[in-house]
Parts: sequence; structure tokens; C-alpha cells
Amino acid sequence: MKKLISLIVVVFTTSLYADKTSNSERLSYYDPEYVTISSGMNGGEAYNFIWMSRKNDRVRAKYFAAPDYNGNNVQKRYQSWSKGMSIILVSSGAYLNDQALVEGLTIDNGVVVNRTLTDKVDGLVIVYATGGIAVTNLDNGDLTLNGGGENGTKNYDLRNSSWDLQNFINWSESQEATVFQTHLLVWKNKLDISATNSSDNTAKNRRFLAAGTDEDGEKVHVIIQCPGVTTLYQGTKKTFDFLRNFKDMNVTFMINLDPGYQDVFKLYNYDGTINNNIKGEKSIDYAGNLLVYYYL
Amino acid sequence: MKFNSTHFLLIITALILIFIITIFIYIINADYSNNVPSERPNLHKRALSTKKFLFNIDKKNIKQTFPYNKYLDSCDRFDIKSIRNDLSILYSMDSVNFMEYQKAISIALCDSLAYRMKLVLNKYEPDSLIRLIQWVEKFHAYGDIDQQNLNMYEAIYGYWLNLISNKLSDYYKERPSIKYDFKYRYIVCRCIEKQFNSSISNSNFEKVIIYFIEKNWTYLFNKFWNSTSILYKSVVSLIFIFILFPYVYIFICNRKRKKTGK
Repeated sequence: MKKLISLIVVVFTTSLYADKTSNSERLSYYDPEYVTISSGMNGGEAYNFIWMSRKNDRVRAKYFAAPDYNGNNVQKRYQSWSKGMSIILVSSGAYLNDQALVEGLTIDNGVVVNRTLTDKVDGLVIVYATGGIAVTNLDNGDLTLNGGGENGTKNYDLRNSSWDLQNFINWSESQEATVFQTHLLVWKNKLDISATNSSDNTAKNRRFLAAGTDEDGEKVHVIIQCPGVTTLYQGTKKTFDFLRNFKDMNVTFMINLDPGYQDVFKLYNYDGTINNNIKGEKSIDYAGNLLVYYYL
Repeated sequence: MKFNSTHFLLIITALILIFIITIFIYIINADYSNNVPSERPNLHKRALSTKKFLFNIDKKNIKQTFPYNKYLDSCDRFDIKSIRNDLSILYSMDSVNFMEYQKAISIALCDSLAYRMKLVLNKYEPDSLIRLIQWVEKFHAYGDIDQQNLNMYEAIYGYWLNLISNKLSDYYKERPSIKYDFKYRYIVCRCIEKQFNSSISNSNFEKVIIYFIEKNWTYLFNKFWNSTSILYKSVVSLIFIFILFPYVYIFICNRKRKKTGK
């Protein structure tokens, strides 16, 4: 009996130690000068947000769209990639359909995952290998590309020209770009959604990614949790209002991050500990895709 | 008439039966016919011809002056030799602007053809969609043996599968029960196989069943509490009480019986 108890104690202590070491191995520090986790009041409601400065390209984004060809799911891919990285946050990104497959045009590091350019949403997000994010409004048909023989002069109309769409896919493959589609909610400081055209009228948790410039003209990315449960339109409207009026932000784009079935969100403090100010309802295992912000 | 536990049990059984019958009707209403149209060989090939109107295109304004309708009337879209023959003529005529001609032919075989097929595509006709897939999937393979026109083949292939995939979502929106039809599922799977996923979601009822199976009680309760109207909450609560009441009633009766010893 004594032996059994001591064995349990040893196993328990070892597992605790192993958990601690793997955690500290995986997460190193990030500079809090570039990342602010905070909250602000607007209209009597508290908004939790992560304010990330893109100054000097220290804060970067990475997107895992689907399992790789070796059968590693996004969790495995994320876990092996994140070893030794300074992770700021991990979030679910694009929508999944009834078969848990990605919706909308999706390319992962140059590998095509889904070729359907869905009519349902207007935002096309391009995550560059350098960690930058660009968004285009598909309705405008004015996407410009750089690199791989492109110099930003030609306008690509992906929605109305299959030729342009094919060339865009070719470009993404050659540049190892990562691409996904989602709801474009704010475009160039204007709401791109209305109460009548919003397809999602259920009240639920909402989480958005906004990018633009702060009051000093510095490029910033902000992930913001909308307070309470709300429809997509109402949530967008009040969050946009908060960013513009309370934070004096010039919003270039704001997109929706899926907190539906795959409501995954994990936030880390600058010292690598977990911050519960914003958290998802599901564990990372439920994610069909992952958007990661990290510090380099 | 006095209600006793047997009456309540009968009512509950009837309710459960109605529920099962409703689901059963829903299931048997789906179209299970699996007579998928077989792929037909193109036996009536037209003789390769030189389309004289191709010579009248303004080289400086190919996109605007290309005779899309005339081309579609005279072209056998099922015959790749015919399409390649046209491309060869255009290449020999003007190799400098050849890419513009490729673009024009892709527009003819995509946008112009889709416009002609508007009536067919606007309503759900699974056999037509299957035939379209059978025709267009070959374009993906043509690129492997004809690299010069690879982009054009891929553009045509991508256009049609994209269109079909988006149409599948539209049909589902119009009639959600369509997703249990055999041919619909077959087309969805053909599209997935070719990496064209459709945006088909689960209905609220289906989501409840999925969460129920997964025993995701907290999520279900949160959804019920946050995303439903007061009327819905009241009705569900009443049903819940109605179902729960007989069990409580039976439990109380049994306790009383045990106490009194009857």
C-alpha cells in the first residue's frame, strides 16, 4: 500500500513538473510595449481587447487553415510550430460548414484547401509569410498583388473573372501565401454590413479583428471581444463605434472571427501566463483552423 | 375525469410517438433515387472547321469585339479537339495577343455559356449539374497534356465548379431538407473531392441534435438562454414541465403509497 501511495505521489509530481516545463519551453516572453491587453468602457459596456502594434514588424500573424498532407491536424501543426515561439494569442478564424470543412476560398502556405470563392462573404484575407495581413473587399474587384512577377498595378476582380481568380491562385501557390474568406464588417472606416443584409441574426458571443492606424498614425491590429451576446450587425456597429470614438482608431478593415461551434481563443500575458480576460468556450482541439499572433 | 399516472404516461408516450413519426416523415421525404446519369461519349462530333468570324476580331480590343455568342453557336464544347483547333487558328493569326484570345474563349465557355444556361441553373436539377461536372472535370486533365493552354483550362474548370458549389448553397437555402437527397449529397461530395466545398450549414434543429449527442450541455443551455426569444423560452419550459411532471407525480404517489403501506 505504501509503495502504491509513493508511486502515485511520484507520478503526480512528475506530471506537474512535466506540464510546467513544457509550458515554459513553449512560451517565452514578448515585449509589452508592442502588445496591450486592456479593457475600456463605452456606452456603459466593457470591451476587452488586445492592442497590437505592427511597428518594426515584431508582432506577426500566422494562419493554419487545414490539416497538412501528412495528416497532421491544425492543433498538431500549431503545437510543433509554436515550440520556442512567443505566442500572444490563438483564435479560431474562418467559418466551417456542416461537415467541418472550411468555407470560402482557402489556401494554406500555398496549398489549396478550398477553391470555392463563396458569394456569402465579401472579405478575403491574405496572411503573408512575413506575418502581415491584408484584406480586400471582393465586391470592389480591386485586389492588387506584389511579388512573384506582380508589381501592384493590375486590379484583380476575383468575383467576376475566372481568369483573374485562376491567376490569383497561381500567385498564392508560388508565393506560399495563406488566404481565407470571412465576413468583412468594416471597410475603410465605413460599416460594410447593414441590419438588412446581415445573414447572421442570432445573438451570440462576437469577436472581431480590426486593423488600421492609431491616433499617432501607427499601424495596429486589434482583437476585440464584443460585450454580451449580440447579432453580427449590432456587435459590429457598437465595436466599430468603440474603436473609432473611444480609441481614436482609423479602421482599415474589421473582420469576424468565428466564435460559433469552434469558439477557440487563448490569450497569453507578456510573461507567458494565460490571460482569461478573453477566452473561448472550447479547447483548441475543436478548432478547424487557427489564427495565431506571435512576437518575433 | 381524474388524471392518474397512467394517463400521464399515455400522453408522454403519444408525444414521443408524434416526435418520432415527424422525424420519420422528414427522413422518408428525402429523395433517395440514385440513378445518376452515366457519362456519355461525344459521338456526334462536328467536323473541325475554320470559324471565319474569328478573323474579324479587332486585335486592339479583343475582349470587346470577340463574338461570344457566335462562337458558342458554332463550337462543340464537348469536343476538346475543336476547341484546340480554334486556339491553334488564333495563335497562328496573332501569337502576340494569344493570351487575350485564351481569355476570350474562357469567357465564352464560362460567362456566356452560364448566361445561356441561366434557366437550368436557377432551379435545382441534379442531373444537369452532374452532367456539367462530367463535362468540366475533363478540363482539369486537359491542362496536363496541353501546358500552353493550362491557365485557360483551369479557369474554365474553376469557374464551373465554383458556380455549382455556390448554387448548391443557394438550393439549400431555398429548401434545407434538400441536403438529405441522394443526388444532392452526391454532387456535394463530387465538389468536395475536387476541393470545392459548399457553404452548407446545419439548421438550428440539427445543431441541437449534434450538441445533444456530444453532451455539450453548457453550450446548449447558453444558446437557449442567450439566443432565443422569451416566447420560445416559455414554450420550451412548459413542454419541459409537462414532460417532467408525470415522473414527479409518480414519484410522489409511490412515496405516499409506501408511507401508507397501500
